[in-house]
Amino acid sequence: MYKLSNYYKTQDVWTLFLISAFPLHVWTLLLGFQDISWLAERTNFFDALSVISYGLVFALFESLLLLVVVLLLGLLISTKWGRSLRVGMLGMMVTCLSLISMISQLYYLMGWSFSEQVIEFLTQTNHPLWWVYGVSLAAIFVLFAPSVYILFSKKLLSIWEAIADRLSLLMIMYLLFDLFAVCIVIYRNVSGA
Amino acid sequence: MSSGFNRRDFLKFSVMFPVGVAASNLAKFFRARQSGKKNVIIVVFDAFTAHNMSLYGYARETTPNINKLADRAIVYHNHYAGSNFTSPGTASLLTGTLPWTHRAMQPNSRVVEKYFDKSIFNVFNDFHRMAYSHNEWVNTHFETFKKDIDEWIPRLQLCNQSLSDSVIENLFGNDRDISSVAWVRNAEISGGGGYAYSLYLSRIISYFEEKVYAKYLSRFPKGIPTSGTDNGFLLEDAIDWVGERLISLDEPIFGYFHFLPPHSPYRPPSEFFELFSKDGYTPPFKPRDIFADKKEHNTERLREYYDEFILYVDQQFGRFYEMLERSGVLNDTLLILTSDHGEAFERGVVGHDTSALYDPLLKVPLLIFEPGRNERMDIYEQTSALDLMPTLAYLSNKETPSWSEGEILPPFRESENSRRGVYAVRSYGAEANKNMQEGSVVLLRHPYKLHYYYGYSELNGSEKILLFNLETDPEEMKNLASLEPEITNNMLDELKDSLKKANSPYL
Repeated sequence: MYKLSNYYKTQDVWTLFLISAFPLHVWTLLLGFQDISWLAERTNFFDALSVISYGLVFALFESLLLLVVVLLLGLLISTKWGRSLRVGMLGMMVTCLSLISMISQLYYLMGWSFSEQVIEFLTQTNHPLWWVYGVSLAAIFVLFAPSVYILFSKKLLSIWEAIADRLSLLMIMYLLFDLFAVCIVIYRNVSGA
Repeated sequence: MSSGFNRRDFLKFSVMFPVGVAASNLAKFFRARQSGKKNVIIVVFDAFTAHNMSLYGYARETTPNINKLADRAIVYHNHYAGSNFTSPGTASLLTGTLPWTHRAMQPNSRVVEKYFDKSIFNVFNDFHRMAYSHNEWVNTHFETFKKDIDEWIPRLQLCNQSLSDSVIENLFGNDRDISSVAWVRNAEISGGGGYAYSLYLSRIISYFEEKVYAKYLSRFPKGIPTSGTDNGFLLEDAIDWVGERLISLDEPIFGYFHFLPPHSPYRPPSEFFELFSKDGYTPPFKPRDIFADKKEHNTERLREYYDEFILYVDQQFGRFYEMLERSGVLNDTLLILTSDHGEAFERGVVGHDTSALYDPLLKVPLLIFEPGRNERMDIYEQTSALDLMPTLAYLSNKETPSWSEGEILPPFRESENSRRGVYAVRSYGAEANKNMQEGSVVLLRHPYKLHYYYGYSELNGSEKILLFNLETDPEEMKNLASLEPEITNNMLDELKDSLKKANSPYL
């Protein structure tokens, strides 16, 4: 029978939450600050700030959902591996996944497109789609490789734990932003701003 | 037992059915006659520029149905909106005043309080007053004027309700505007052009919404038309609903129906999709304007989609007209077709989110269909959206509203020619109770059009003044400001004087 405490201690859940929430908040803030002048120009500064606040509240909600998924995935990992390895692997995996998601959105955000040489190369091959899928899968594999490699490398695990510690600290600051954001959203909805 | 409907009954029915239909139409006709009031129905298609209508000489055949119907209408060839986007443009239509007077100059803003009871709905207070719009910003105006509207049809009644509506209505209903913007930014990958604040939920939401709308893909290859956050709608559904409702009502009706197409996103149905894609049409080259979009567009492709979307509007207006005509409603109805502002595909501008005020952004269709009119009348005088309210009041035997800044349109007014200048104004950032620190104003005085831009960061502290002779240069290519200094200075003095007066209560 599953006993949750065999898998996670409160500290592990907290660490995983901070690691899951960090990339989501960074992305929201990046896009939000990119939008703020456009929004402020068309409305006013408080409305623009409110749009970002809604974004942060949304990111907080999304982080909690992601945490639930990550915790459930962790239950599939054997208890023999130990807590630190499980948390390390899950944390690394969720960071890699978020990176992949960011890169796929960056493609549109930065207006990237295939260069003429790449398109020419693809048209010369008999199976251009196979190439596109193949390269995408390879990229995903490379991005996911650290979350597998961490199982076998104590050095990588300790590096990751050091990074995670620092990210968690930063994330606590973002949680303060979340608190402000929740206040702004509540204020707007109560006052009918 | 017999079936109860024999040959004799069938013959009786065959004779009586057309008589019944005719009687119903006649009854409507006589009821309206007895009350002495004509219905007034205003149909507004959002962002519908006269520039891209074949009715007004556009090279693509974009309005075949309206062209035919125009044979029974008064067609205004130089009709100008009050501004170049929805909030001020619609407020000008509804109040008969310029944006610098009604002050709804920011996006989704309201008119100032003293105009709350000075709308066209108030003028027709002895009619059954109806209003509908797909556009949220127009609904903000309806909200302002709601005490004078008897039947305000909810926006979502004629749209598909989406997940975002449920979230926004149920959780953030008190902050609908900003939470809607935030939702688009957070959750809609397509709305944000392939990216959103949310990394995961946006993908899941877009996956489910695509599934919901997949069934429309065969009819709308670029997706179903949408309004607001992501409410899909079919224009024909709205047209059918409004048409049937109008036919069912007996009392005199004043109706303002503001449909979103051909506003972006341009999503023509399959019968018109790519109809213009290889027609060889090349618009005249115009240099990039200082107020061009920062983003580069495939302008000609977007123009094609817009033109194809106009065909959809034209088709549906044709259906609407036919529906009202067949039912007899048109026998006693003034039907108006117009728009709140234009749309441009030139000088680096695509759409209408620009400070520029070239003709494609301002010149909109105006057609008045009067009962009994069987021939076309063309009016070439410069007219304004502000004129609609006093004209409809006049045609309905009402006093010209005291607050109106418009004039009764030709051919109805008594004097031969108008001596006034026609204005259009944009000041996107101007708060209702503050003066316009930056703005775009045009003054039209036949045959000249003066553009005046001031306060914009793009101008580095200077002013931009352009003068065009629209009779010899309708595409606004040759700036005469330095060649015709006297005309420029006279018009500029007049414009600045009006601007000063408009700003004076807010200084």
